[in-house]
Amino acid sequence: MSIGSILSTRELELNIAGKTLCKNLNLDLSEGQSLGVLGRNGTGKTTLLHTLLNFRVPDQGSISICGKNIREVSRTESALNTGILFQNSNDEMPATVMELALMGRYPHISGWRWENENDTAKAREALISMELDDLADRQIATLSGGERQRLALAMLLTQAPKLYLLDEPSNHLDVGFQIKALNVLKGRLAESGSALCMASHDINLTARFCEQILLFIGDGSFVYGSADSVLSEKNLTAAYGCPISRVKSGNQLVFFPG
Amino acid sequence: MLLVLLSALALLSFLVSLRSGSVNLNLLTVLQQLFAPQPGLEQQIVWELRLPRSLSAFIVGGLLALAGVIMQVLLRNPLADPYILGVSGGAAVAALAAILLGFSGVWIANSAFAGALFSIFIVFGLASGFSQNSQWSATRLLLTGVVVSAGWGAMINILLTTSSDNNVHSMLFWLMGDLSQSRVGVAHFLLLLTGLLLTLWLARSLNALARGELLAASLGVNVTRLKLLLYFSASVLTASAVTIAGSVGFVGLVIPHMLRLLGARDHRILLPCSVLLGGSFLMIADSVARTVVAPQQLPVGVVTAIIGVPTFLFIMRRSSRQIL
Repeated sequence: MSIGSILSTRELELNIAGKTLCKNLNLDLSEGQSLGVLGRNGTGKTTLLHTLLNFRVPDQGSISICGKNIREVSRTESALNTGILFQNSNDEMPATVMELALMGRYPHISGWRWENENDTAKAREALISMELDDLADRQIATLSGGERQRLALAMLLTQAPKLYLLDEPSNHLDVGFQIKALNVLKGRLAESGSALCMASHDINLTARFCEQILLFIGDGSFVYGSADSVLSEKNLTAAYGCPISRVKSGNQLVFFPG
Repeated sequence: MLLVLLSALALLSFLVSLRSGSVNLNLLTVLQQLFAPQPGLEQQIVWELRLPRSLSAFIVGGLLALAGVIMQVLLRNPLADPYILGVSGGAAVAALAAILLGFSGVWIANSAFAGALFSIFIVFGLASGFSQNSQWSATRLLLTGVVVSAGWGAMINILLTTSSDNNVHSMLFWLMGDLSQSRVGVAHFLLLLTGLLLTLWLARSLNALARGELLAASLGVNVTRLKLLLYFSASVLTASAVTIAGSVGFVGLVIPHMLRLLGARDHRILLPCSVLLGGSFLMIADSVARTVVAPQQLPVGVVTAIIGVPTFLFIMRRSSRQIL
């Protein structure tokens, strides 16, 4: 394990319902780095993220986050190290935007202590970065899909973990906010020495923000490496089951079907 | 702020409920008898009839509202109430059976408590498949509870249709919730206090759980342990309430919602407010139950709905923002 390592998996094997999702997966993610996880529906993107959160036990291998085996840290420490943006949210119970943003501070607060000014300031800062500060007192039931997604991102920013896991971060977001949200996160990685792992269906967005790519092929095999080497037309065509072309525009890679 | 207001309301409701009944006492007499009792009829009324009954009403109301909050979070379902998982059904079948067998008073209560505990374990056992490490989801628990409740409902109807008229009358009072036979002790008060302190300790985790099990887990909450604690504490609180007063409806469902509409969404505020408002509400409802058709009495469970429905609808209309 190198210095500044945030995430490392060793010989990780994941199976779900008798199907092998991956075998011998050795991820290494250091401070400031981003990993993009791509693959078709049901190839194991979300399962991988949930395994990294210790929600399920890997079938083989081990996972270390911030140098510690995740099976051996307390739940609070785990929540301080790893935070996630989920695909779905449960909004049956009422809450305001600010209340939800503040919830990101829970792992940092112990016992009977209430949120203090520092916590509130962090939540407000996160809301501002997602352009939600004007909506702070709004009920979440009145938010649009995109606003709700930005709120979930703001909550994750308030939590400020060392490893940011994002499950489909571009869901419901317009292009402007997709770029903005990931820029904010990238800025966070640089300033706090954290790392990011995002699962997405958007190859272009992933290629733009992630230097490492894990591409699930779908038959239990995967390609893992630098964005440039993994995101070849051959690999993508094999993974998505439809021809994918790649062109270079300026210093930006662009992908499109066909 | 809300807490202070509700404490004042609780005190006020307490005095009102001591005043009212088939004999109306004025406030001065009540206060005088409370702080400097003088032997006589009025002392008897205050100390032996009204005070125990008011305290019962407060404690039952508090227990039910607290259990209601817990159930709504546990099942993440705004329609959940303390009885949804069949605790009251189990208690009712056992209590009705006791009435049928000619038992009275404390034995009906004991029987109800045993029935409630039985139902708690049956529902939990069925939902978790009687195995140690199986996952029980909120939906599974809810479905099991609703199905078991339906079973209890059928048994209640069998008992009602096969009993003599005389028994049916006391059975109906029990089913609708009635405080006329209720006596609470220090143990009940301690139970309410323990329940409140335990859930207050867990309040932040409750806030997180209200947003879903996965989110709560990602914020460091031990969800499995929390759910177990919530299920059993809500069940025991409900079982005790049902044992004291039968199945008083409406309080556990609506008090938590009223408070959420009034802005108490954080469980650190919502839990104590629920106890205060639930208790006050039931004391007032019981005062009404004793006075409207005096010297006859209505079952308090009927009054809770009659007062509660319009109040709730009014508050819901008033809160302009879409919350529920």
